[in-house]
Amino acid sequence: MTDNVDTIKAAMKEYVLNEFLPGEDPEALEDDTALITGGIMDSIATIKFSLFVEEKYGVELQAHELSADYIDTVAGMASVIHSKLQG
Amino acid sequence: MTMSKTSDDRPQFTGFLLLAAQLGLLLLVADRFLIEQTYGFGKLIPVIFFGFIVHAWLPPQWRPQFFLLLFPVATFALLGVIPGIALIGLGVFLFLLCHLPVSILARGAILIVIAAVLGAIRAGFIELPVPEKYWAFSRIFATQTLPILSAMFMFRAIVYLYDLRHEKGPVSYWQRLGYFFMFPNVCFPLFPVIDYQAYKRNYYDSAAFEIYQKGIDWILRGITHLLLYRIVYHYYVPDPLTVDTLAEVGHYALSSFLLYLRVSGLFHLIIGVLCLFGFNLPETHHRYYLSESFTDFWRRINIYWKDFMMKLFYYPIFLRLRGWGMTRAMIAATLITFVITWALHSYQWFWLRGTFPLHPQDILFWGILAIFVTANSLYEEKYGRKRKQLTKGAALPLQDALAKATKVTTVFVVICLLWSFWTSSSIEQWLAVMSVTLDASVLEWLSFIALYALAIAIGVAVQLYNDRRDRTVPERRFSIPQRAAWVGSAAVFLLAIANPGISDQFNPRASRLVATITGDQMNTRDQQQLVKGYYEQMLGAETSGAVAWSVLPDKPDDWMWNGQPEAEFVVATNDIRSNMFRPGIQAIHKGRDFITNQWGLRGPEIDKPKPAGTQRVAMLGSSYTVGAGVEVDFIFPSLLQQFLNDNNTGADYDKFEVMNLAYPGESVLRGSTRLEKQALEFGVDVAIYMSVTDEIQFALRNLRDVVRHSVTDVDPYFLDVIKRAEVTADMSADEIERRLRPYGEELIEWAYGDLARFAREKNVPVIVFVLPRTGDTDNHYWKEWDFLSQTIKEAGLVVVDLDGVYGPIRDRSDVKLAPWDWHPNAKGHELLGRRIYQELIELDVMRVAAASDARSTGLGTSELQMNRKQQ
Repeated sequence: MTDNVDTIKAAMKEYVLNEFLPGEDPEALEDDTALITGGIMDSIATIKFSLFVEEKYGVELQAHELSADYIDTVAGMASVIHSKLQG
Repeated sequence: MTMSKTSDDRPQFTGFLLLAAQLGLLLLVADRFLIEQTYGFGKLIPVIFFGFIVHAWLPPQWRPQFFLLLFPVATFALLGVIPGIALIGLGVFLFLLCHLPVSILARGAILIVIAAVLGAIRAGFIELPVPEKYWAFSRIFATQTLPILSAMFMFRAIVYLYDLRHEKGPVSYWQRLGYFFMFPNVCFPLFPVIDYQAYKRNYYDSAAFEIYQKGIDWILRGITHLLLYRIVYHYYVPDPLTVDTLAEVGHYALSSFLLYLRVSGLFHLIIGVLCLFGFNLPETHHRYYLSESFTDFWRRINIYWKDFMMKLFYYPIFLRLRGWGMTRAMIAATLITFVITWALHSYQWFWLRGTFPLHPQDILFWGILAIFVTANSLYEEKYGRKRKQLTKGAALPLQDALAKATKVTTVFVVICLLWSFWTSSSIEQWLAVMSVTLDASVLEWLSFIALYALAIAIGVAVQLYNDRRDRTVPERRFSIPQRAAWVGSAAVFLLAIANPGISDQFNPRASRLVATITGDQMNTRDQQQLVKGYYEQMLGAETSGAVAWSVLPDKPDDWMWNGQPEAEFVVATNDIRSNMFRPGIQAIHKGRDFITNQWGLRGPEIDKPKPAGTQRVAMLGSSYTVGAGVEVDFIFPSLLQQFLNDNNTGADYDKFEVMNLAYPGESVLRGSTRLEKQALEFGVDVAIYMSVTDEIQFALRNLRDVVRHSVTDVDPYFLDVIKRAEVTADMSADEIERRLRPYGEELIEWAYGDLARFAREKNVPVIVFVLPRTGDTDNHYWKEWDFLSQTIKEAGLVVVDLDGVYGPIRDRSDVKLAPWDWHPNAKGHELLGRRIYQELIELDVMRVAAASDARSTGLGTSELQMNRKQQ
């Protein structure tokens, strides 16, 4: 059974908090908090994220999906992953 | 492209008036300060202002079409109708190619073929197949239309095709066309690489008023950067040959990096203008002088470029190589991305300047930066980095503030050094400057360390203050009226100081500063060398004076001596003069006839024995006096002869003859020798030496040539200086000049003394005119002028100041020979000729010369000095 969007969001949130915002109040990270355009995720964070997604969900993100249009927010990340899991 | 609901909030009248007033004031500032006048920004000002007013009141669904309509308006205003139509037609053609019903790869291949053909035209390999009578159009096409067309498509077409593959949602063709046909591009070929997704994503994505105000804020920021750039450019850039202490090395490196303000200023201005039309684009630069690491620097400076490289190259390469493991793939992707960055900078240069540079400095600069960024990336990958937090955490610990301040200071110093390397004229020159550090004293190094520590201390204090303020004072957002008040005040202040009636009330130094920064001039060093770093050359300041980038043709290859080697037109003299013109030259030089008489002088034939009743004036000087590029009858020595004869009463002489003994690059070091060997036997009665500001530089080069050509038939004094400076013929020209530099003022003092001795011994009165160059505006000029006039007076010679001869500093483009050649044109020569004649009349010089000619009264230089004092 594939994860639903909310489960993926929770996983994404946990990953972002652990990796890029250690010590941050979890409540401060909302589904629509800008991560790339907000200056929280840079290129190294982005490629780490892509490897994390590949490892955890077994899906490969395409280069164009590593942009603010797709993964600028936790909601966006979850949406991309979910749609890939859906095939 | 989507329009948010906020795009329909057409402004209320009072709020709109506030916006329009701010914009109007800022555009007035831009006009008054000739902001980017080189590119014709002045012509874009009404397009921006009235375009904004109409656009803001249009229904949202009409705005994309109106924005697009501004492109032909701007194009016709700046380029004219025919080149404008060619630009738009070709642009539409290229756009349609992007939408051919074939695969994206096939479209890309077709575009590459078309680009290759256009590139061959740009490089001059092929010409447009047009009849000969349309040759001018062919030239305009290659030098005007193509650079702008390429600026529109060279990167955006790549991004566009890339994004087309993954595009989601409907986008109208108006909006697609708007991505390429952004009207500021006509004026600014060096344009930020705007991302297509960002262009769509940010269109009216928040309240229209906010976006417009942001645009106005950024226009002000851009103008501020550009004015700061001018101050740095005119007052802070040292001549590398004068660098002699550790502090001056720092000055040299710092100024080279500060010159980047021009690019950040331009980009703020461009994006600010686009914000006025609803494109809520992100920052192009973010406090790049405060980078904490090299990766941070890469992220902050030219952010659009970084995003472009990440999207198109870094991520695809990394993902392709990720099987190698995170670290290896990251190293490879970073290094390859920097190689592509270097190649694309050269590619950009090619389209804008017409040549493909392969400079070792470029390769080394990007290579070193790549290594630094890669090393930094590896460190960050392993140890992470402190990122922006969403909430206020604990108070900033002192050690964190200290670590950050140390990093920022260190990165800044390293980037300054690296930037100075990139922008130096040559690697040899940079090494020569840096070699000064080897001879720095312990005290100098201690001073450097103290300054370094002070910078860190300030950095710590600022961070702690900001941290404390952030936690005690609620975050404050300025309202639009407050921001408008700030913008308005800044604009009014700038307009006030730019007003001559007000700026003239300042002290002379401040008044000169204002005069300098309100104009679009070259600084002394660039006038001398016309050589600058990547962005400086790319932005083409050396070709300023014409209307737009696109109408700034490069210097023709055959400008000098019609493309023939200069050696064919000169004769070596084996003395301090080095060369003189070959007798009987009949050539084209700088686009005009260049003819010398049987004595190698530019002027009509004369007999060596002076005809009875003739008064002969010998005029010495440099290229300004040679007057190449102006017909011989219209250069100021000829005009002076004409004015003297036209006003001759015949009381003392039947006629006057002015002999032009000038030679390019001549300094006073050659004065007495030139007179002795080329003038005395002609029975010269009076000599005029035209000194040009920056004569020290000329003197150093004159002596440098003596060293390089191992000339021995020179005054023992010169040999003594050569010995003291420890220079030898096998050294590079830069190195010789640098070593001679400490003797520059001494050489000038000696040479004017020598000229005065010569005048006394030979009883030939010598008058020295200090001639400003057409671009003399900066601090260097004023300092040298003071030194020269004092030195000449102390030598016992008469000195006449020609300051102000060309009129106001603000715009002297109408007295320059060509956009790429700042020697005076015929108008400049006429101004000079009339002024010199007037000064001679006021000095009553011909009466003195008459007495001198009689060789009996002992009158001469001393009497001239009395005449001068009486004035």
